[in-house]
Amino acid sequence: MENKYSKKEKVQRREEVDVFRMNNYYKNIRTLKKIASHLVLILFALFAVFPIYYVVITSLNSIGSLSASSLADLLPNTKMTLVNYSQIIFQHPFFIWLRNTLILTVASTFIGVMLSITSGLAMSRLNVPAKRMLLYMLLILSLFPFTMMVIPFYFMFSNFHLLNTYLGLIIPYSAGAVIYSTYLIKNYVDGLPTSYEEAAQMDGLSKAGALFRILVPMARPVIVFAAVLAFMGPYTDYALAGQFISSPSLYTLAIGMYYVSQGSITMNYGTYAAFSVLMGIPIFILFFVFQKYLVSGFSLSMYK
Amino acid sequence: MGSLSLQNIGRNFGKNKGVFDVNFEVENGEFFVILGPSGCGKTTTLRIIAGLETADTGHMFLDDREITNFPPRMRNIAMVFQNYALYPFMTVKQNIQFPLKIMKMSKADQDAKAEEVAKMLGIDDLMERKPGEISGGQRQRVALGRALVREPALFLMDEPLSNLDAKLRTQMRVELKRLQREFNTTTVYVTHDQVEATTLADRACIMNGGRVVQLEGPLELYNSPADTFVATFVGDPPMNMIPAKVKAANNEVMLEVLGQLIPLKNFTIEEGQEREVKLGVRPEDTLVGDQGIEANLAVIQNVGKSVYEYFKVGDLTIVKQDTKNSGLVIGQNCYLFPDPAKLMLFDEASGKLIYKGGKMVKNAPTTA
Repeated sequence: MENKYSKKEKVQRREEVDVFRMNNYYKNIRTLKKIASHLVLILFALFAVFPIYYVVITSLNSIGSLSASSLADLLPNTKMTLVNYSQIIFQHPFFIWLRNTLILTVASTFIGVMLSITSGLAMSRLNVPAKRMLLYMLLILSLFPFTMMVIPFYFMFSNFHLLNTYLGLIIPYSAGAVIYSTYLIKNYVDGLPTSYEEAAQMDGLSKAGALFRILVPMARPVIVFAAVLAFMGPYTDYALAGQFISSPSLYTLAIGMYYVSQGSITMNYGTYAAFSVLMGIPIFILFFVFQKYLVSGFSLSMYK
Repeated sequence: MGSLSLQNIGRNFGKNKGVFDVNFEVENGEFFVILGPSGCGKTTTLRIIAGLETADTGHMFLDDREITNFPPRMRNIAMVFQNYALYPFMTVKQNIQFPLKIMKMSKADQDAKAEEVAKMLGIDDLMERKPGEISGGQRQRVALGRALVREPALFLMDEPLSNLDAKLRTQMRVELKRLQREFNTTTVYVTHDQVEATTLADRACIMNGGRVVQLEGPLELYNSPADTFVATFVGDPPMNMIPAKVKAANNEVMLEVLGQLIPLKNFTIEEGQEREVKLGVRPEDTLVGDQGIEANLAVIQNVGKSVYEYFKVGDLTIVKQDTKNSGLVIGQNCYLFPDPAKLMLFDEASGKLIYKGGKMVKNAPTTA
């Protein structure tokens, strides 16, 4: 058999085999790389999901205090119960709090986004006097933490008799939304070519008509993103609502959460977690519905 | 209906940018092309006509009505943009119907009109698609449809073919001309592509530095350019421009070019005088012969229907165009001379055309 091939042919065959081996080697490397990168990604995913899991599992436990808990409680077990949830829903005015929160968030989101759309369009397309200065001021305003303004606002709003009212919270909430959203919308609209609104003007619209009927629908992704941001702030706010609202009939979810989870001596972590889950559901739905817009919105806000 | 008249239109952006003293009349049903290099003010002129830019000076009339200060929507002018500017959130049908919707036309009429226009443009099967889901050529048609549907008095187009690939561009050029004939709408068309100008235009004007340089039929632009700018801008490859001198001595007028003397007929010059000129020769009027300017063949480009040969003469490059190869090989020396009946002479100082087709041009500037 061996003698069938000349020496030259043997060398050639050897080379062919080597090439074949090399090719396989690179193929294996590629597979290994894929496995390694997936392992890393799975690790990161676990890291991101774990807090949510932790909150959900805690909400299902009926452990009195942290000292009575063990690591085993992190796994699903037979002691799990819905008692925390039923407590919140049936022993407390949860739905009144939810109603209050929704009135505040929906109203301030609507007002804030409407104002941001008009101001964002104006900042991008019209010759606003001192435009640059106004933009810098918005930027500077967004640097201050919201909590810093609680005390001055408190004194100011008590003079206006706005404490313990819906309006007293809607005003600062929508103002806060305008600060971020104006900038976001302005940046997005800057990236749209002017020929769209010019075409609309040629088609018979006024300049204002062209801006609202053409640019607003085109800026939908950033407007949805701004709206979700504007919703999230008031929805989870405790600092401002906690100070401004003292009458229980006006409690928001965030205040209610603090109220129900305070035990006589220790913090009631099970209830606290259950409340977090309940509060998280609307946000979860919101993100799920607007997923398409939010992904592009988050990448937009990176370029700020 | 739609006759347009621009009188002394000017718009100054500062730093010598803008448009200055633009005058022209476009007749009803005419296809008028504004041609020029980028930054020459052609798009600004179009935007002033559209009302998207306001003129600092001058007056503008559409059908004898002054519209200088009208907002765009009141002008009854439609425009096709370079990027088409189709509203991305509307379907093709909604895009085409949009101007009618703003006019508050009844829904049934809107549908009928849109259908009719879409049929003419061959896009009636795309009506329910979004602009993002159709090809560039189809988008172009939709943009045309949106402009045509309301039967405007005037139709503006800003480099509408520049976003298409070469093949589609040629096809759309033919189509545009056909559509314009069919609808008989007065059209002002802006382009930097002189082929588009020559194939589409009834008349064309060339702009440079914000001013109209020449306004004529497209073939006249090629055959008798007003100055060196037009001469080199129109035509591809551009006209050969060679510094030369006209001399009158011994009762003979001679053109001295690169050391060669060429007898010149009918050139008005006093005996014993000299005049600095630029010799302009189209590539197809450049001939190879036994004597003339000594040149060296550097590059041959064969594009099938014609052959371009690039010669080196000192620092100058001279292009020659013919339907077939001259038989020369690269690196070979030969003699070039201009076709005496076709050569053009331009004034050295002003760049204006002074001599063409064997005689002096009327009203040509005399010696500087």
